[in-house]
Order: sequence, then C-alpha cells, then structure tokens
Amino acid sequence: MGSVILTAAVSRLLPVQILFSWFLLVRGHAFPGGGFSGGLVAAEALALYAIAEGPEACRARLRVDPAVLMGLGLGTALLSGAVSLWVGEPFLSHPWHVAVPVPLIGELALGTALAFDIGVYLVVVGASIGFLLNLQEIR
Amino acid sequence: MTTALFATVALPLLGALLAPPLCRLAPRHGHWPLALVPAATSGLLLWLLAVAEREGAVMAHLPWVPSLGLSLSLHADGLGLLYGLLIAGIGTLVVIYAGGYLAHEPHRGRFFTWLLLFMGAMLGVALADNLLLLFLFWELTTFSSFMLIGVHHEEAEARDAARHALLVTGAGGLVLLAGLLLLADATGSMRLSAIVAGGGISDHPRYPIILVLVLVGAASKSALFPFHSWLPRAMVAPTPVSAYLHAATMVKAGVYLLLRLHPVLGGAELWHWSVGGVGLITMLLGATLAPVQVDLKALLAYATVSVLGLLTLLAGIGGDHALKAALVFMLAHGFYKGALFFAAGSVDHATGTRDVRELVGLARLMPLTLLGTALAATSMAAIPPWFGFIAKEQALAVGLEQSRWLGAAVAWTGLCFVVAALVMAVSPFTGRRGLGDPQAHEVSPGMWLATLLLGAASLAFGLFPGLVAHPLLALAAHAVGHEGEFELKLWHGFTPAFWLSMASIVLGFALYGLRRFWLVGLRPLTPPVAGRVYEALLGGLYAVAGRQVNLLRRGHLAGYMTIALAVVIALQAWLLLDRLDWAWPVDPLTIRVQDVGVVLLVGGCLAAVVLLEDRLATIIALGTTGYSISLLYVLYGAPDLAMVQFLIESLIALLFAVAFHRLPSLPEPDSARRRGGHALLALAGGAVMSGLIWLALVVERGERVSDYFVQHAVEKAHAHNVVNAIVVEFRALDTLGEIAVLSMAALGGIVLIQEGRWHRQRGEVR
Repeated sequence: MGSVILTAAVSRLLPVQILFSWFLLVRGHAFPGGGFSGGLVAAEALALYAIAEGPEACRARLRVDPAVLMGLGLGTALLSGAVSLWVGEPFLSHPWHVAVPVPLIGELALGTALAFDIGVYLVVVGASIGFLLNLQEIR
Repeated sequence: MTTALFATVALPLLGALLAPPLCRLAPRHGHWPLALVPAATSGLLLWLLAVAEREGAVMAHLPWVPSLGLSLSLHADGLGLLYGLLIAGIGTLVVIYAGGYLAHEPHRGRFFTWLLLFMGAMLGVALADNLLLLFLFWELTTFSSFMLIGVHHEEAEARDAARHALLVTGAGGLVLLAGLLLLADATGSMRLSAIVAGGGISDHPRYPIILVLVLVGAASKSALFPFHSWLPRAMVAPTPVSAYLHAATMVKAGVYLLLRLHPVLGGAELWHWSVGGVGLITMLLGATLAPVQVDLKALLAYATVSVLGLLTLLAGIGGDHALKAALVFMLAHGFYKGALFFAAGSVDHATGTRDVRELVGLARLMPLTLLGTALAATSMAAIPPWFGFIAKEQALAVGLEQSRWLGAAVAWTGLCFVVAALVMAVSPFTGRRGLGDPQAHEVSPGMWLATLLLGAASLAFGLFPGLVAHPLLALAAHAVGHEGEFELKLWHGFTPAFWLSMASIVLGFALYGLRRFWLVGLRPLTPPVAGRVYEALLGGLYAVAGRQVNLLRRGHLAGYMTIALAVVIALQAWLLLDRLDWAWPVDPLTIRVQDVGVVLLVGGCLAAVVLLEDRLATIIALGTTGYSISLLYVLYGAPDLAMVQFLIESLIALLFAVAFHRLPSLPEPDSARRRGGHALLALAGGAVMSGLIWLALVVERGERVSDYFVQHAVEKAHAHNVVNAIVVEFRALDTLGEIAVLSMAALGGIVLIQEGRWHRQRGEVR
C-alpha cells in the first residue's frame, strides 16, 4: 500500500499482536479467548503485515507455508483427540487436566484440550493467511 | 498374541509412512529395508499359524464405534492365515522386484506408500472378523489399487484404466455392503466368526437377495463375468502391481469372500447355480481368450480371469473335494502367476515391448529370467511334479465327479493354459535373433531373484506337498467347512483325472506346435479390450452429468449465490411452516433502552449497505453492521461471542481490502428488475431467519442443552469459560469437522486462485 505510517507501525506491532494471540489462546479455558479467537488475532496481525510489506515479506516472516500450518493444526487436533483412546476413553474426551496458576494469564489449563485448541489456532491462521497471500499474489 | 495379530495389519501401514523418507534417503536401495516389513509380517503370520494349530484360531478385539457395531476385531483362522501368508509372502518379493523395476521411477516413494498401504488393507480383508471392518478394508484395497494402477497419471490410458477399476470395484463394494448388512441382520451378528459358526441360513426369507448382493460384490472384485473387463485393462499398471494385485492377492478377495461365507450361504441349490454358473462362464471365457493375446500381460490377465472363474466354480460346487481343490489351486496360482508376471515385466523392462510377435531369442541374453519363467510356466501347464499339476488334477477330479461335461470344461481350460504357458515361456526366448529385433539385457538381481524364488516354490511344493498341507491348507480347509481328513499327495495313481490331465498337456503341446496354422490367423480377430458396455454406461453417465451441469452452470457468481440462497431459504421455510404456531414466547425478552440503540445502529448500517453504490463503502458498511451486532453480544454478557464476531468482521474487511483491487470493475449498474429480485430474496431470507429465532423462543421441550453445558462446564471439562468448554470439549468432534472444512475451503480457494493465474499465464484469460 506504500503508507509509511502503516509500515512503521505494523513491523513493530506484529510481535506484540502475536504475543497477544498466544495470551488469548492459553487462557481460553477459563476466560474469554481460545484457539479460534487467538488464531483470528494472529491471522489479522499477519494480514496487516502482508498488506503493509507485501506477500513475500510475510511469507519470509512466517517461514512455514500456510498450507503446512493447516496440516499441522489438523494433525495436532486429531492426535490430541486420539490420546484419550490410549487410556480407553472415547475419541476426543480429553482425559487429563492440570491447572497451573500463572501470573498475568491467571490459570493455565495444561492438557489435551489445550493441544486441541492449538490445532484450531494453527488451522485458523493457516487457512486465512494462505488464502489472503494467494489473493495478494494475483498479478 | 493379540498384539502380534494387530501388528500384522499395522506393520505394512507403518511401512507405508516410512516409504517416502526411505526412498529419498536411499534412492537406489530404499526398497531393501522396506522389504523387511512384509517379511516381518510373514514371520508373524507363520508364528500365528503355529499358535492356531496348537490352540485354535487367534482372536483380537478392540471396540471402535460400538453404536454402529463396528469394532477392530481380527480373527486369524486357517483361511485368513493362508490368504494372509500369500499376501505378505508374495508382497515381500513384489517389493524386492519393484525396487529393480522402478529403479528410474521418480515417484518411487509414493509408489511404495500405496503398495504397502494396499498390503495392510489386504491383510485386513484376510483377517477382519467384523463385517463393517471387512468392508472398510475392502474399500481401502479398491482405493489403493486405483492409485497403483494410475501411478503414471500423466498418461490418459493409465487414468482411464484406474477409473474403470475404481468404478467397477467401488460400485461392487457398495453392493457388497448392502449384502453384508442384510447378512448381519439375518444372523443377528456383525462378527464373521460367529456368523460362520452359526451355520447355513439358506431357509431365511432374505437368503436369495443376500446371496446375489454378495456375489455381485465378489464378482466385481474378482473380475468375474460380466465384470471381468476391468482386469485386462488394468494391465497398464506397472508390472509389480499387476503381479501383486491382479494375480496373487486382490482379485482373489472375491473368491476369498465366497469361500469364507461358504458355510453360511453355501450348499443351497441357488448357490450352486449362481456361483457355479458365474464361475463356469468366466473360466471358459478367460481361458479361451488367453492364448490368442499378443500382449504378454494381457495373456496372463485373461488366464487369471479364467483361474478366478475356476476357483468360483469350485466354491459353487462345494463339498470336501471342491473346497480342497479351490484352496490348493489358489496357492498354486499365486506362485506361478506372480512369477510369470514378474517375467513379463522383466522382458518388457529389458526390451521395451511385451508383444509376443516381436520378442525372439532372449534365452541367451536373459538366462536367469528364462529359468524362473520356465519353472513357473511348467507349473501353469500342470506338468508333474510341479505344484500346478496337483492343483489341476484335483480340479479335474472334482469336475468329473459332477458330470462328464464339467470335467471336459475344466480340461479345456487346462489345455488353454498349456498353450498360454508355452506362448509365454517358449516363444519370446527361442528363435534366431535378427538385426531388427529389440535389444535386451539381463535384469537387475532383485528382479530375477524374485522370479526365480516364486518359480522354485512352484516346484518345491509340488515335490513336497506336505510342506503346505499341514497345518496351512488343512486349517484353511477346516475353516471353509471341509469336514474329513485333509491329505495332499503328488501321486494318486492312474485315475481318470490323471489321464485327462495328461491328454490336455499333450494336446496343448500339439496345438502350440501347430500354432502357425491357427493362432497367427486368430490373433487379429480378438477384440482389443472387452468392456464396450462399460464404455457405453460411462458415456451415458457423462451425458447426463453434462446436461445437468449446463442447466445449473451460468458462469456468473451472483447466479450461483441466488440458486444456493433460494434453495436454503425454501427448505427452511418449508420446515418452518410445518411447525410454526403463532404463540408468544414463554419468556419474552425484556427490552432496554441500550438494546433499542444498538438495533437502530444495526439498521442504519444495513440501510447504508443497501443504498451505497461504491463497492468499498458497501464493504465498510457491512463491517460496521457486524461490529454493531457484536455490541449486542456485549450487552447480553457474551464477551466471547462479541470478540469472535469483532475479529471475524475485521478479517473479512482485510480480505476484501486485498481482493478489492483484483476484482474486475462492474460493467454497469444492475437493472431495477434484478435488484428487485435480489431484494425479494433478501427479505425472504430475513423473514425465514426471524421465524426460526421465533420458533426457538417459542418451543420449549424439556431441559435445554445450554443449561447442561453451563452446569457441567467446570465439573466435566474443568473450564470456567462455557463457550470454550463447548468448542473443545462437549462438541469437540464438531469443531474438528469445522476446522477440516475450513482447511478444505481455504485449499479450494487457493487452488482456484492459482488455477486462474495459470490460465492467465497461458494467455487464456477467463
């Protein structure tokens, strides 16, 4: 887009926004947030970055192909669900839960449910950014 | 022991995952470690065989979807182990052979992945004890064989053949599913072993339909008449695939199923006539067409069709002798036909042609391949003391027991096999080489070794039939309902079957010797590939589909949206009118001042969306509508929903901002009539949605599911955030489906965009 203000702001904001998206992701079990909202925040941060700096810069910053992110996310979600089969529970029943108090976040709910949420996060980021970058690359 | 049983199926599936990295690490020799996978599986199966002999069949059971009656149940009885050993044993050699055959193939990793996946699925078919599980594995073999036939997907012929096989065997698989479900209903059990132990059901009222459905399923897989045409066509597949799928294992799945269900469905008059009749026709058809083929692989394919017919015929006859003959023939055929396919592939690989008319004098150039071919072809021609001789004599004896004519039919088949074996093993290797003849060289060690081993097995088991008779064949025979003592001998004395066998061999040699008087003349008359009916059906299907697409496809995005929306609205309206009563909601909403304010805001934004002409302005107005709605969520205490709504609106705005530049400019403003139509559609959609919400407020049936979620979120999901508890815990399966759909939609969009770019680059702007 060629706006100096946007460019200057976005490259400094990106780490903060990504950090915020992780914050939303991990506290989702107890407070508003979760993998879907966290993924959307990250996707929008990256989308802004792509608009300001161009798709190539965004791809370089991501390092991973968005399609791979989607695959990783689906795999993580599937595996997190399959863990419960190991202990004889039905698929996706998330048998473990350990609540760890963490300053700033509040309560961190460790367990397969969090892994599932991470999968959702990755799919949301991969799908939105993959689509957006491809749109941008139309010449 | 149960672990070992599961491991037999799991090992090849794991190997399938290992194949691509292995082939990348060691492009030339990656297949040797891969061959260890089926070898280990064979070892496990042999051990299970020893256990089964001592303690009876090994079972393993793991619930999967109990509500559907689907469980991971495996059952290693004699028949399953015989079939499994055939799959894993020949599979080992196929992997070794394929390593040499595909030495220069760029997609080796992918090929071995499909091959091992197929092997795992095949072992699943052999060992499954649950009817639904059997069907799942059955379909998996169909799918992986589709991928294997179409390995060279750049070639149109390979694609057509793969689709032919997929359509025929896939459709047959669905018919089989119907049959299996009816069978489960009739017997009251999903467990194959329990159904078999329960005995015959021939007096059940649904017996005829079950039999027909199962027979159609089996016939499509085993290339029996009238479904046989896909098999000769599938010969475009790489030769290891033909040897493995189309000779030794997959095509026998139908026969396996008929043998497996023989104790349940067999014995009745209908079984004799239908199964036996289909088998007889297929046997004669395949045998007669085999020797006149000019393509070595087509010749072997028709001979295979014929053997499958013979096995089906034997299953149809039933009784101790026929069942025993079927099992022996199944084993003998697996060995010799696998080796002959290997040999045909080696010849093709070395010379670049499989045409018998062009191949000449290869004996000196490919001595080891010749040795393997000769060993196997002798078994195919049923010359004593090869294993094929024992098998053929058994089959002849069964035929003669039934009637003189059936004996003659089997003898004719044997005669055709003798001629076909000679065409395969003598014609390409003998004769004087001229200058114009194709060049050749001996193939790599893995390839001739695999040929030689299978050929040698054909001889060894003929000389020492005791090696396979006990416990392997005896247990298998017991499993299919063979009641008496099981014995297998090379020499039965000068029986009528023996004389008939000898006569067909001598006559076969004579016919081959006189081939220039009849065979050369017949060859041009053979139809290229059977299956005109299939082509006609496929053409009809395409015509119907084309007409339907032309009806719906307007090439106009707004048109598609109109159709989709109209259908959705009409369906919902129909549902709504069916159950709407104009009652006032039970708990009416209290309306506050701030609610009215938000509603007015939303209304204003919407008015802007409708009235604004500029695209960018419309999109911004749409975004503000969404933001205003998220305000409503905030007012009603749903911060999570508000946040998600807000984020989604932002993302849509960003996507539009990017897409905006790349959209073509609108040619002209829409006509008033079209705008009117759109307005009508929008109003109808709004009315239906309002009605649905009204209905949701009015209808109160018992406990609300949302109350349950709120009450149990902390206790069951340890979550203080109910929305998150629903998304990742209570409704996690829905979420999994949603993210899968999201991924597919994004991939679809990406592919569409890239496709458009590709067309533009080639100058075909659309």
